[in-house]
Amino acid sequence: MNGIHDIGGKHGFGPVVPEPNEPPFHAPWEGRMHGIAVTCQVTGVNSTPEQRTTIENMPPSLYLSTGYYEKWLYAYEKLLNDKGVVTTEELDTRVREQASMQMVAHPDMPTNPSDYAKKLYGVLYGGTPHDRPIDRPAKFKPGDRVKAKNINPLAHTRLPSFTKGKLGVVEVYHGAHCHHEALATGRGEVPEHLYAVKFTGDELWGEDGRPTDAVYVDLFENYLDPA
Amino acid sequence: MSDHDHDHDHHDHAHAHEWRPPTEIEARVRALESLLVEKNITTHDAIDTLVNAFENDLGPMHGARVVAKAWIDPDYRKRLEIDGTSAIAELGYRGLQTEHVKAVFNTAEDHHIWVCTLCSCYPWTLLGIPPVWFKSAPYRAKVVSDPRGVMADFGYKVSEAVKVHVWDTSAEQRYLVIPVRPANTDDLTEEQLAELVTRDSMIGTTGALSREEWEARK
Repeated sequence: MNGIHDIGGKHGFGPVVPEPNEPPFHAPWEGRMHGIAVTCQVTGVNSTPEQRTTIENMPPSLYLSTGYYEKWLYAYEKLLNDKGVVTTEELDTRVREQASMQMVAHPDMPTNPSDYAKKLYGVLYGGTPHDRPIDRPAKFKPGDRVKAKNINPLAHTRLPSFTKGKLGVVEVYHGAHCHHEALATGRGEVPEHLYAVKFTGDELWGEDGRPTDAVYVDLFENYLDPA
Repeated sequence: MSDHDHDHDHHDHAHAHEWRPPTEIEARVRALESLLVEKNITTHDAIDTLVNAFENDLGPMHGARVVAKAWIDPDYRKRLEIDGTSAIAELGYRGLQTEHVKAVFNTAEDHHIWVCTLCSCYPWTLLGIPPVWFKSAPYRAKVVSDPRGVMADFGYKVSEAVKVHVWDTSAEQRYLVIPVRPANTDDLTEEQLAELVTRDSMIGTTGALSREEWEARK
């Protein structure tokens, strides 16, 4: 969908304001929320693209007025309820039951970790590669001229709006990676060729862009036509 | 610890599917974790492990080691150019969101900077948790059309003649900027050179610290 998250190139959001000496997490719940998201994905409850899709479907005013990890909590409350894993009613009841409990800040590494903690540690430091074999050759190679399709599906897509209909040149072939659209809709791993496509500043922004500057966008092959 | 209020008993259950105000957020996250533990989806110590790793192990000092090595070791730099993921793994850095990394090299003529316009993709196990500005609307909106304006927000400027290359990490490929090695650093050790390499210089919103800036910080 081309919702509020599809924000590249939009004016009016003000300057970028860095925070000096920023901690990884600004409150204990942010770290726990990050952990909950990773753990749900490692256990197979949901995929990263499902998390992203849920956030993209937030009402735009809510998307812009909530903090980063608030969006994650929103996503997991909704995803887990929709999947019947943790219902909203169960969660509301548990919130009331635990009203007086405190959250521990800055936990130590467990001295005698559970098997599951060992597994999560292994995934964190091992990673989950996204490249897969594919049974058809790549249509494009570096140097080929391409045009980003003008498509506007309601479903999840990783084609940013500012590239739609624009002419570019394939800069890098990344190999075949699992397509986010399939993962977002529970269709599993569907490999698709992936490229970094170079769009010049003037192609993207007209006379307000510089022809010598460029934006390179990682795009799946089905987003591209030859040009 | 959080200073959030805990005002849980005033829920309006007529609106069970509406989003709750932030004052409740810590209670809701704790409740969610406890339910996921009871349902055998996770364990508290697994989440402790993850939070501890992000707070104490993972961070930009890992990426800084990659940059410093690329500055002093031409063979390593070559390997980093050809296959960023493998060259980074040589130093022991791999893991979630660092499975596919391309290094892009700044020169006197070219400046690179990366963003995730659609969400917040970032090489966690190479650079740690992304800063809030990286994940927020102003950066994601502005950097693709006005990268020089973003650099100005960071107090950084590249010459008009320099070409600016913005990489939008819209799939699962990640990027790492190798900034230009600052002048007058021939006598510095690899460890000292790594101290010149800031997180922002590996995203590309700034360059590495100058020798003077580095000495002023010590």
